[in-house]
Amino acid sequence: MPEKSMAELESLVGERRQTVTDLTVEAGKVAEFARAIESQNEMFYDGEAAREAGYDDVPAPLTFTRVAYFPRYRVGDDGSSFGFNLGFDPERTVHGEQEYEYSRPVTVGDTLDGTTELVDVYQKPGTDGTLTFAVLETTYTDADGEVVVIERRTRIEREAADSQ
Amino acid sequence: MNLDPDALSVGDELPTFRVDDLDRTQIVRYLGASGDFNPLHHDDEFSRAAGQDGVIVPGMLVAGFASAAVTDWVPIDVVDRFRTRFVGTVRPGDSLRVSGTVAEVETDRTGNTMTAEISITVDTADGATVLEGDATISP
Repeated sequence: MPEKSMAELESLVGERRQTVTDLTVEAGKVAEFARAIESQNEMFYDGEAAREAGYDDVPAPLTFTRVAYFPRYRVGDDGSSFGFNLGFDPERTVHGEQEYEYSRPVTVGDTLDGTTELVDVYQKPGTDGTLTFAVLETTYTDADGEVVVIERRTRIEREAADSQ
Repeated sequence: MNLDPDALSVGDELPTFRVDDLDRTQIVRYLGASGDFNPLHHDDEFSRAAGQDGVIVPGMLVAGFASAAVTDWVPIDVVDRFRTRFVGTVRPGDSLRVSGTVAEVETDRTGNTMTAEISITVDTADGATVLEGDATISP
């Protein structure tokens, strides 16, 4: 079990907090990230090619908002709970699932803010004990207040061996 | 074989995306690019204390490879949705294959693709599935 009881976690469901501030999407960072995921798409590396293809500027790779973890862009604590102290033990917690819904590509020149909502917590039996799931949904908006991308992350904590 | 996003059929396969012998330098490059400084991914001793044989590759790098497989094939602005589920551990030295299959297609009256669902799998060279996911595209 996490440090917090299920009742405590469930009481947090529906709460929304600001977690990301002024995430500025920069061409150098986009190119570095694209290179790290071994993308061959020249759009990520070449502003002229991107504009010729109809983009405002270089678009960012699909998972680029991961860089919101850098402290420069974070609000409050910079732990992996993203605004919510779930009490999960990092040694027994894994990233289960990640989902993105895009209104448009994240693009160089964007300055994004993010708010995160704890949308669900639940438990399931696992092979080594109870698994506790927490789903955190982060909505990224641009300088015009328009939603650019919604990110949904599921974290899973495995029950401690000595609590069984 | 070039798969045309505007003329998709269920069962069509995406071009295969491979990463051979994923080495420490590639892993570190991703950790620096993405800001993931969890010692599980760069500190063998820490990882062993946490019950692993050594460092493990972050799931989000494998998701990154899966996303690159999609956006190396279609323009990024046609991707509406991208989802990945982490089902296996990846370690330094593993070789990965990203495969994608068109699972559903909606076409207009002339047969052009309006939206499509792509099922995505990442497997190691040993045949273990480490990631399952899907993407929705509107070419």
